[in-house]
Amino acid sequence: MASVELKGIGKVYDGGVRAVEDVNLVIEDGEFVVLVGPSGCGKSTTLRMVAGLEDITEGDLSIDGQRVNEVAARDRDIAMVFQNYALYPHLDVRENLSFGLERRRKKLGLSRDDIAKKVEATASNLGIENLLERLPKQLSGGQRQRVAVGRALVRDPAVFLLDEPLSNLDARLRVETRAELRMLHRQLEATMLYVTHDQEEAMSLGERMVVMHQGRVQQVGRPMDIYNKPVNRFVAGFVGSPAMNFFDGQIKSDEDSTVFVAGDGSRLLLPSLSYRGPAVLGVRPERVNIHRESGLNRLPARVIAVERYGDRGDALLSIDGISDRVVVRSGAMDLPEEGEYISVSVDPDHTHLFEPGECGNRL
Amino acid sequence: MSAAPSVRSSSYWWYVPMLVGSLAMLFPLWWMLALSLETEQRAGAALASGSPFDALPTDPQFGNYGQAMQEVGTTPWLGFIDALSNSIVVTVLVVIGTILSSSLVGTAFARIRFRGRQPTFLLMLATMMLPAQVTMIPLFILFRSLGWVDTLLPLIVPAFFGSAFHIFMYRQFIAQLPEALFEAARLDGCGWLETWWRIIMPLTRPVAAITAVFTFIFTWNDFMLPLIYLHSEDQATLAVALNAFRTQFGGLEDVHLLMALSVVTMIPCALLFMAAQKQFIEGLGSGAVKG
Repeated sequence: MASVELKGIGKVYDGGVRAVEDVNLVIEDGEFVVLVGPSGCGKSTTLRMVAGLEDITEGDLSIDGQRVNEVAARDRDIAMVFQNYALYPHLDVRENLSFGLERRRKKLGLSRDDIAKKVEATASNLGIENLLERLPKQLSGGQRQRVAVGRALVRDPAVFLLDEPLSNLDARLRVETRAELRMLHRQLEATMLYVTHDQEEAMSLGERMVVMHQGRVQQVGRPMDIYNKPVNRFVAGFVGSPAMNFFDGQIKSDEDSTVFVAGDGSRLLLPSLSYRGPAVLGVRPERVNIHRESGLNRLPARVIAVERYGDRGDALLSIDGISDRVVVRSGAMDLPEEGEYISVSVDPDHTHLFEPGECGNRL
Repeated sequence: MSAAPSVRSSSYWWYVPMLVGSLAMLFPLWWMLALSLETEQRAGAALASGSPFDALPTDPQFGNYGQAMQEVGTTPWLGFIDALSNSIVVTVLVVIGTILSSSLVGTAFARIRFRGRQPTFLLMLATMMLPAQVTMIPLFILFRSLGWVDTLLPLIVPAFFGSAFHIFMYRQFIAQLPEALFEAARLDGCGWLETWWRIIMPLTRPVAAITAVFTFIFTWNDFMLPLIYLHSEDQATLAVALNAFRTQFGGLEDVHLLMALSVVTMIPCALLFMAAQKQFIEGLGSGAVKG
């Protein structure tokens, strides 16, 4: 296994289109790092630059301390799992697994027997030993995905790169495979760089998450650290499902206190803060408290819609003068009914404040 | 109830022109076959009278085929064997050369990014507009300067430099293959040549089949190039030998032999068509029919 270092990495395409800008990241030996962000944020481009499938326009990429900007993809000792698996359709599973090793047989000093044993062992590890004679078109989506992972595993590379490998699987299989990937990582202690647009997947898989937007890294950290303390409004809104609720307003002084004044004039007492001016208040859906009766520091709300997921659910509320789209997550027993009039409150310690703008910094 | 019969009866009408067209297409074939199995006298008489009913072989003369093959060239049998083997060598090598070169160039146009790729591709396509007659003389001068006249080389070697139409077919097919396949091959250690040989060639078998069928038929039946470049009897292909045979045995009294040799020359193409009908029709659909 190896460490990967990206220093000032950038990608500019012909015509001046900038896809990635100034990415700085160190992936430690054996670490599982996830690049996450919306479509077009540059995460796949970054992964492909690490793989050597895209030229690096700016910056330096090092694998295990060696600069590899000009090193060909096949010489970087990396293996990649593609989104659509990229299995060779005319080769059976055994041949797909052994293809890369066969190409490098002399360089690695392997005999045909060694390769056959490695293929059998990898297939057994992934539970696909009974599929070795089949062609890719004879496999299900989940089986193809395992073969794609197996093809990477059998090479025993320094770094694994995974480009949204679960995106073509159904929801249940995705959850199962996530767990298997985590176990595989622990078993192999492999350095893995994983790309996904699914923030739930990112949070469940990665030891560290890298949130990207418009070609730039927004935040790097452990998933729960990012969840609990997003550095800007974009990260706050992207990470977490359902997404954080945002309310525009002003931060003002009120005697000796600091208050957030919402659109309708409602005030929320804040912890001490020096900033004064326009701001955005963020509250996670699970931090909005539901009350059946009105009271101090409570706002009246009307329930527009309710979605139940068994043990929990989400309610969509309208709060006059503030927002007609406030999402609340609650246990099934506490969920209100559609059309009901309730009140809501928030604990100031569970709020987040940001500067105005899509990527407004955390205050 | 009243709609159904009118739909059925209107579809029957289509069979009439199709039948007439089919008969018109098949007649020359039948005429050739019938004359090839007739005796010398009956074949000549049928040809003179112009009546197809005078050439219904009641007593098929299969010996005409042997006699025709014997009469090719100056040495019995050897002339025919030489012509047949030359045709086979030229056709097989041209098919191989066309497939290899067209797939290689098609891969480059489809998958390799290089400066001027699009203009070069359009220029390559533009060469399809050039009639063969335009390049005939300069090519002859070139091959003469190389000392290749009266050898099979001018017929074979150009095939290894690509055919515009087949390059286009390969390029279109390869462009549709997922990019990730090539990237996976790159990561697995394949350079472009190895990717072409191990990944692209197996996946482009349908295109190769169409290319093989059409190149075979065109090359086997090609008369112009062999006529220009092959002067010696031992270098002749079947098309040239057939023409020489026609010159030698073109009279009414020898038409049965001429037809017999024509049938023999036609057999490989007919067999190929029967074996590869699917590819033939696919190729027609992709605009593969030329002239």
